[in-house]
Amino acid sequence: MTNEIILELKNIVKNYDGKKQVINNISLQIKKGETIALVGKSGCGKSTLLNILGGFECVTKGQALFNGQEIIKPTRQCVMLMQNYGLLPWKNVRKNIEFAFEGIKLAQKEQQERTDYYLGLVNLTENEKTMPNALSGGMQQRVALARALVMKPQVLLFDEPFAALDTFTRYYLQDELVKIKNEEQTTMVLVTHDIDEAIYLADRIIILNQNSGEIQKEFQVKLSIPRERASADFQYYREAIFKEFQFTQEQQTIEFNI
Amino acid sequence: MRKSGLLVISALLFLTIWQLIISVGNYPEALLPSPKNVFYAFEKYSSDGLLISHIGISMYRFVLGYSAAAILAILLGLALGRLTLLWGILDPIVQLLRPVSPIAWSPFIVLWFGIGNMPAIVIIFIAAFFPVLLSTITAVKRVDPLYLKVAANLELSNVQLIGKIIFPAAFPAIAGGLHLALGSAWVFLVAGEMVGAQSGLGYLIVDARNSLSLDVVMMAILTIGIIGFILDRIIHFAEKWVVHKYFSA
Repeated sequence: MTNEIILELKNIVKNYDGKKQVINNISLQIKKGETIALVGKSGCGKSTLLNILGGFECVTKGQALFNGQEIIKPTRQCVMLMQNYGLLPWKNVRKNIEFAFEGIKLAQKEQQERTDYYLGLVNLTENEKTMPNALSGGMQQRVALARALVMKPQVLLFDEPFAALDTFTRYYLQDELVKIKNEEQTTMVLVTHDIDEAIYLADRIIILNQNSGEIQKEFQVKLSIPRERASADFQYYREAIFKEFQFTQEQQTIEFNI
Repeated sequence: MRKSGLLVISALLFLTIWQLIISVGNYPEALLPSPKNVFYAFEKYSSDGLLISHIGISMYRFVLGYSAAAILAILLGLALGRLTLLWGILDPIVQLLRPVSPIAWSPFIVLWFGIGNMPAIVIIFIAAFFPVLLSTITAVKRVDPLYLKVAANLELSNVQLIGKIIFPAAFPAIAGGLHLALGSAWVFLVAGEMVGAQSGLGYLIVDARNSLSLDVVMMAILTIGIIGFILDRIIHFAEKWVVHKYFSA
């Protein structure tokens, strides 16, 4: 991680058709190589925030910057991975990954080498000819990850990437992400419901408030990588974040019956 | 194997019922020709090559009208499915034209295209055009937004988006429309050839009727039915093959 800022949100506000404000005055700086987790209850605007960073939605007020330039549309430098993978069902694994070269001019040899490398990185070399619907959810997400990585983006955005997967597959993929993070130094922004996932992966966890649409709290996770889920330090962060969620709930008033 | 066995049984059943109606009802040949006489007509028209030449010219018109309609309707459908505003304007016009039988246009068709091959081709075109257009538009609108998001992330151009993502994603539904259109276009072949044509299976029916050869009329009807059945099977298997090859494991 360097001190160079890659993504920056300056006092952004987002509302849909003049209705409820989903995001209210959020400012955030993300450093190159940093991993950020956005957590919060449903409807707190975390996915919207991610879509703004990816250029899929625009802000109502404020500025969203990528390398100092205003984000106006999605680019190959900032790739989004989604819960439902977005693989093309009519292409096999290899062709799906190679589809990432569609928009650009790149020598055939380079394309092949990159595809081979990332197929290996996500452990799918043997499945390169398989069609997506013959793969398990975890494997499909790994294909999507490889497709994103061959583009060599500066930023990876994850919208609840492992939410549809079972626990062990999820752990396995989280480890893959840690591995990729070490090798590629890619900046990652992750939206998740899973607090353990956030602590396991992120350098910084940002909790968004569902009601106000603001940042409620920020945690720096100062644990060395790889992290141990069962360690006391891990539990410390878990507890702190859980508490944060409880305090946002309104205390029920006690009724007295006489 | 089992399927072809069933096919033979069903053909035999058809012929038996046909023969029974004639034997029991004691209808004269002039009202309902018997399977035997229709078979003779088949034999006669096959041996002098007349049947094949009528089939050939009908197929030529059919293939031309149908493929022109399919190509144009798919291209237009791919564009209009994306241009929501334009389609909003054109939709009522299409809905107004669609329920009109292609035959209703025949006076204009003869005026504009004369006689010969063109009226039949145009009528087949009209019959095939709307089902393909509408199914393509619906299919394009139903393409999973997830794919569009991926395309946006890859910074694909509009042409790449349509060619590489939207068309293949919409293909299974478009194929359904093509299948549907094939049936209705074949139905209108006969009608098309009754308008100003001097050859083809439709003309054969009109011509045989004029000379009161009902066995030939029946022969032409059976030929149309059998070819329609074969065409339907062919596109059914083609559709299955493509979907199996590209859209399943």
